[in-house]
Amino acid sequence: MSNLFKIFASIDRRVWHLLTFILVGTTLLRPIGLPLKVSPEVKKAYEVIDSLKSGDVVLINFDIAAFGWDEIKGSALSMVPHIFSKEGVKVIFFTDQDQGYIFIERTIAEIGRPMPGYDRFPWYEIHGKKYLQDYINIGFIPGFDKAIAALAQDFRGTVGRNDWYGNNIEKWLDDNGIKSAKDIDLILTLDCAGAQSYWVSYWYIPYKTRILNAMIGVSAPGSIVNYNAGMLEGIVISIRGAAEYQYLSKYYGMALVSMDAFSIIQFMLIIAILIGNIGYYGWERRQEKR
Amino acid sequence: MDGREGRRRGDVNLDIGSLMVILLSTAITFGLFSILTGVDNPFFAWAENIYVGGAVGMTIVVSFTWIVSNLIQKIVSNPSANWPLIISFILGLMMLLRVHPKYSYLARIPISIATGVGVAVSTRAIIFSGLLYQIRATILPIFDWRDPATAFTNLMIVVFVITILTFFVYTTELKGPLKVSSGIGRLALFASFGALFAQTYMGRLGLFLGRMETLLIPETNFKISVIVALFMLITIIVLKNYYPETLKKLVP
Repeated sequence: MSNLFKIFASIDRRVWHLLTFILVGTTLLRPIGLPLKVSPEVKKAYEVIDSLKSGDVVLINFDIAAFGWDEIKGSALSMVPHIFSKEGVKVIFFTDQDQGYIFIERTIAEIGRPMPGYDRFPWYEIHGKKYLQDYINIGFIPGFDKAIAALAQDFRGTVGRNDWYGNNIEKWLDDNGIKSAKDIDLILTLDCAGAQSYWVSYWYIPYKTRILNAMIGVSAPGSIVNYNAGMLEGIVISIRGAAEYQYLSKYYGMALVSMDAFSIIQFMLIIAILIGNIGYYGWERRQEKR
Repeated sequence: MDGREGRRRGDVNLDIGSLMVILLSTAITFGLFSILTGVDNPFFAWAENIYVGGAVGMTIVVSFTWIVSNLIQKIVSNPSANWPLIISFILGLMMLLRVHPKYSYLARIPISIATGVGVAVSTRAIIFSGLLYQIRATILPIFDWRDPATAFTNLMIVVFVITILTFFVYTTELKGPLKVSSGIGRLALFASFGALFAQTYMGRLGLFLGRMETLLIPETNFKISVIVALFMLITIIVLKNYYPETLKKLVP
């Protein structure tokens, strides 16, 4: 028995690394289809987007940097097309990260197609919505929290006259009646750096603007607290939340497939914790006492 | 068929440029993962430097472009109307003086202005979002048992908020009921630390899964990943076991 404890206590950590790679790889390539339950917070996020009416203006913030894209893209590629599928809804893309505009363009390229006669950004059509008719991209504004606060304080002044590509957007903003922060009906913030707290502080508190938040897992605790306090309308946490949203919105993607790997690795972690503790109490601690 | 379906099937036609991008991103990812072998190796150092350099370079280019298009152009086109921007521009330049040993003290002015503005802007909002709304969220009905699950959750929230607050009472000796409450609060804190660790682990796993998906799907990415991973692993093993001196020289 003590030999078994000794083996448990002395498993090389690289074995766990290798096992993680193998299990993730095999389950991603050959999914088993474990059951998935939709959580209430994701269902609420879905319902908020699904209830958008013609004429509503949605601001989508890409608080996304390269390190988090692979985790947040499941949410981006299901929530953004869901918004675009709603008739008459106008959309403004914005990013508070210097790398964010790359991911706005990647998302648009994935879910849309070039408008007839065009072959480059920003002239893309998403679910029949055309650039400068139904949506605009104001791109990156530096300052992070200050930029978000400035947008709330003086929306038109902060946005300026042109979009990210230098096209004049004043007429588009005038036509859609967007003069200040009060004219934005919904904010969707896709977070890698926890921008939701600033949207809550500068948009929800003074104007009661509805906010939805999808985020990477490490930013989840802050979002959960604000969701429980009623300041976020719905939250989509990490790949798990993205999978649930993909299931609800029927924009099926890799987040759903990843769920098997997610569950299996969590089982592996539980087993690793058990083995590590058995090894520690059965062998290492006894050795220390001796 | 949209791009996403094509990508999943793996039948997207890739040009040389796209292949090079996939190869480079795969090499950087596996280069960073190579530290998991427990050997300090040149692939990790290379990938780490490229990542940091690339991110900084990107920030400089985007910020500079923004400054030119939103600051300098506006000042040049109409200086009298945009005079506040001239002050911002001067303050921005003063910030750069941090690197100059003789005039670094001048950088304190824009830093103090930025700090002051930041505190002023955020204080009012944080009082509401970080305190008042959070307190309101803990004032919950605990005697309405028509929905037992919600009532039980509410009761737990109220009990643990109170007991954890008593754990942080430092001004008096904890005796009697206060000691019991503090003990319960301590256990509740441990449980929340466990939940936070699990949440963090899930977050890291989410990042890893997202990256693995890009590395393995479609088939072209999978093939490139296998070749790159095997090449790096074999090179590290050979260097470690047969050319340890060369390995030392290759790692900065």
